[in-house]
Amino acid sequence: MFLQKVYKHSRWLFLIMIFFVAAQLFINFKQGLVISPFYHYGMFSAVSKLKDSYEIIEVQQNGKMLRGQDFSIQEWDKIMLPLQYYAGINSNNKLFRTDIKRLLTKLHLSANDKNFLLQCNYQQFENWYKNYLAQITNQPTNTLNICFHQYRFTSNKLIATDSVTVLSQQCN
Amino acid sequence: MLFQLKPILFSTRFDLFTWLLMKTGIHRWLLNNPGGWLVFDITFYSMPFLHWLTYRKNPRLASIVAALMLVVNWLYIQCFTLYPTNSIEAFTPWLLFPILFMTVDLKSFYFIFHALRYFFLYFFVSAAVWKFVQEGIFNPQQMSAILLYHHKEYIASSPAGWYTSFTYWLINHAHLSYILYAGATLLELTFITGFFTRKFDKALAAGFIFFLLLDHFIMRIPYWEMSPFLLTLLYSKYSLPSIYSSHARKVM
Repeated sequence: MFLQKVYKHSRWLFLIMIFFVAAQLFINFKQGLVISPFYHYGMFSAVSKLKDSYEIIEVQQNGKMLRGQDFSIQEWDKIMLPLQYYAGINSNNKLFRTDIKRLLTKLHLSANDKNFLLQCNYQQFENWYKNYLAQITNQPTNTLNICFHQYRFTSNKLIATDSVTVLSQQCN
Repeated sequence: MLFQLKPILFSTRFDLFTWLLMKTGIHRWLLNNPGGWLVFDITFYSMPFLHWLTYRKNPRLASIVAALMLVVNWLYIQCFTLYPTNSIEAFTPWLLFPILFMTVDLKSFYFIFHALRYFFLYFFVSAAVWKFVQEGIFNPQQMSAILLYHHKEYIASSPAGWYTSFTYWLINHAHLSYILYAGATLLELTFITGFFTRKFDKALAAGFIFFLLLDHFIMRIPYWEMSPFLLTLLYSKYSLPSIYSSHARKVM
């Protein structure tokens, strides 16, 4: 057996490997909090259901809607992900206030709020995103419009509704 | 690279180690800090070269450089994945591989290398097991729902593109897309064979490449950061020279 061979070679190496296996099993059974490098490798294992409506991010640069088909996978991710992160600032902060702070206190570890909390500063974000986007699209961003558009999934297609909110309203 | 990402915001994950690192404020120091990105990028990408150079000149010192590479990789990957990019799970090989180079003893290297191979096998097998535990595999709508949620921005922005037509076709043929999901689960499950024999490692390596390609083209997830693990399957056939162990060929 592999571990027997390791034990014969080096007890230290054997103990490290046993620790690694035990820690990974513990994280699996505990479910929820992970400790790097012990993760859950679920890869879309949780049940996903088709929904009636979806909130979809739309980006207009200089009045023109950006299309996924005009960008590589990495570029499209670079365009979309910062917007999701900005829209998620409130839930990021909530996670800290409700869970992280409590757990760190339980472990007798102080938590400096400013290292975990982000502020909603749309003007600063928009200025940064204009430059960032210009480098991806290779054109200056004179006007920018980012919105969360509600779509319905009916007749096997996504159909746009009239319900639209702008990114600045997602975090304020 | 951080210089390409230009981070100004982060998202906290549910990871105790990450919280301890965040307490230092290093991730916040890097926000909107081009000088910091440059230092981090150069240090991170030069470490393998530095290790190789040290190994050639003085193999004993190389293990110290490898330990340094481990620290640098952890700092870099932990911060990098807090910003808008891939999840940290994809970078697991970058976190673990430096350990392999921390030893100058061939026998230890051999065992750590095979431990990494086992970890890689576990990575895939656990992904399959989770699909049963979390019941995704029992949901006939699973792949259609994943595809629609994952590609909704692409589909809405490019309604006339061929990829949109293809994705809609998969979404609206739930049974066909479910076969893809079940097929991926089965592929993940086949990695269990690696725990008992190394005979099929080349086939598993081919399966891994196939998985990465499908992930890229169907899911639009570039998971190539996982590719260093491929080495553990491609080089698993080598045994220790007999000078190190009379049982070397029997190991595993």
